[in-house]
Amino acid sequence: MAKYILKRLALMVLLVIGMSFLVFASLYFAQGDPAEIAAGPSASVEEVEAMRHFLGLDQPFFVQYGNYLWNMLHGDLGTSLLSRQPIVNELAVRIPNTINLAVAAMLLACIVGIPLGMIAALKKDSILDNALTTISLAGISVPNFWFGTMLILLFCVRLHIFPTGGMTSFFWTAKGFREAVLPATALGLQVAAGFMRIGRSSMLDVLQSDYIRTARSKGLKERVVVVVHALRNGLIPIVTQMGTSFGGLLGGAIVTEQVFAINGIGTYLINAINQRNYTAVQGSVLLIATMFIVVNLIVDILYCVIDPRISYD
Amino acid sequence: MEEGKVLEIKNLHASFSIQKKDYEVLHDISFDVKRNETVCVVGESGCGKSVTTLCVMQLLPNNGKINSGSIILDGEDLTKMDKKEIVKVRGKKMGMIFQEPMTALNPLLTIGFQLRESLMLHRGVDKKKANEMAVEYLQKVGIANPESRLKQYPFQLSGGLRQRVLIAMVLSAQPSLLIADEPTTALDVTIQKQVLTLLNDLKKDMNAGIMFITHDLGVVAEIADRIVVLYAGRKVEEGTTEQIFRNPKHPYTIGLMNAVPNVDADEYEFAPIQGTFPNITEDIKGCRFNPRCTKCIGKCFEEAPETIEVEPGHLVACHLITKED
Repeated sequence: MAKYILKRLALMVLLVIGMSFLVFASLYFAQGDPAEIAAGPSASVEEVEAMRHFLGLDQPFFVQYGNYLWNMLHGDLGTSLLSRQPIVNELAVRIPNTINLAVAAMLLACIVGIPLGMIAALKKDSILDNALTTISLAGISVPNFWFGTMLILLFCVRLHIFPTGGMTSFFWTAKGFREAVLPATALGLQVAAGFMRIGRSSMLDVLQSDYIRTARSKGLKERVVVVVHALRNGLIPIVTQMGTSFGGLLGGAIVTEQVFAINGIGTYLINAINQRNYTAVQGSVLLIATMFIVVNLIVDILYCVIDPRISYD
Repeated sequence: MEEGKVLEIKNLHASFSIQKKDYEVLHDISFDVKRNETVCVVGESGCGKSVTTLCVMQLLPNNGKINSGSIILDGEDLTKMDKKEIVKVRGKKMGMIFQEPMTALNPLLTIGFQLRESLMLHRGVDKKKANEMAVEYLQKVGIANPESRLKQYPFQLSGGLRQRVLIAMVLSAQPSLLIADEPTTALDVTIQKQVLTLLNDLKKDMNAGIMFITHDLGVVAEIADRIVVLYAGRKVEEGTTEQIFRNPKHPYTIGLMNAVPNVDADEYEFAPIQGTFPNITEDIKGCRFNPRCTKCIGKCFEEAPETIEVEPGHLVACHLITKED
């Protein structure tokens, strides 16, 4: 197992480096001129050229990328073209909010989605099953920015139960919980619905499998058959899905942060794109990609814990 | 109930509902299994062999149901029990070995866990004692290094070993009835032989009755004391191994015997039974075998034959057979 994790970590470093190249190259070839933006709207041609030289943008592509990579490996993602602050510092302030939101949404999706999917499978073809299937279909189809806006309308504007936006504390504190409920619900809905569907179908598969029949023929009570023999097997496809879902969550967080006015990576990225703040876009995209890679590593390790067949060669 | 009978199936009728229509899959099946006896149930795929075992285990899928008849195990009628009572009997008094050893064990739990589960449940021992007993049972079914096997997962074992583990698991509850549904079909021939010998030894050892499902007549000849031949959900013939192999009466049984290739013959012609096995949705009037039978008489198309005893213990359901035969 330790060997497997080490192997995955080494692979992860390579992946991040590859990613940095893609991000760097795509912005290098993007339209617009970073030097112009950095110099400001009223700068003269000479001032722009001076800025270009100052930022090293007059150097060949690979020299620029080499410098970027070198700095990146030393924990430096450059400075914001507008605020002149190190990108790392600007991201560091915002990342807790994004992680807070994404983790809260993921937890909510797990707590709600997985059990409901399993219940639907156990009560197959009942009214409850049909109701849950309908709900999950609706959940997958609803766009999260619309759902978020509706939540705000109902719970903040009409009922005054939750704050309309902002995020100042972690969700496990009382204040943070109130702040996180609506954005996490808006963001987690699709993932929860996805888990419900996968959970239901995988559980149905498992319940019809030979080893469940063996467990029943042993004389185990149905409750033991489900909890001890079926549940863990039914979870495997959901865990697989978690990795990709988390990518969806990070993407969704960009929109959800806007709707709920949360100062996270998503809001930062949107602003950076609008202001053509190239270095900031590079930094935040790279950070989001890295988070995605890390989460997938965690998922793979989790997979090992659940399924003994994985860690063996 | 007669002395020595472990299982007594009487006039069992069962059906499956497919798209809201009921189709009878077992019609008036009766036979019994005594202690220290192996009864082989044979027939083509779809004849109702496996359904019979699932009826006994009360593990029919949701669309299947027993319509009438009784299944008496150790003096208790299983068809009259509710779910809670069944759970107490299942595994304890009757154990079942399935066809597919590769998938019959839970892939995420160790062999030890799955064996202990049965021991702790049916023998009322604690975990430590269960571990010791698990080792004993693995030895009994001929598995080397049982201690280390306990810590392994099913995927680390071959099919033959897994089947042994499953047999050990069933035996550890000391059931009076062992149901084996084609336990050797998925195994290669040498392992097959080993498993059959093992079952034979264990039967004597534990004084249990075995109900053995197979379509392999070679296996039947090897282990059966008595044979029940099913065709399309009906019992067509029953007798001792000697009676059925030496003196098969029903045209279907005769067909089955002829279909076995004879390796000793110089020029062997494969002699299959003509026609195809009827689908359960087909409604055949009279004897269910009539579309494929070469010896039909007028009566065969009109009424179903009654079962008659042609010699002690030898039962046949065919219009051509009369008591005087």
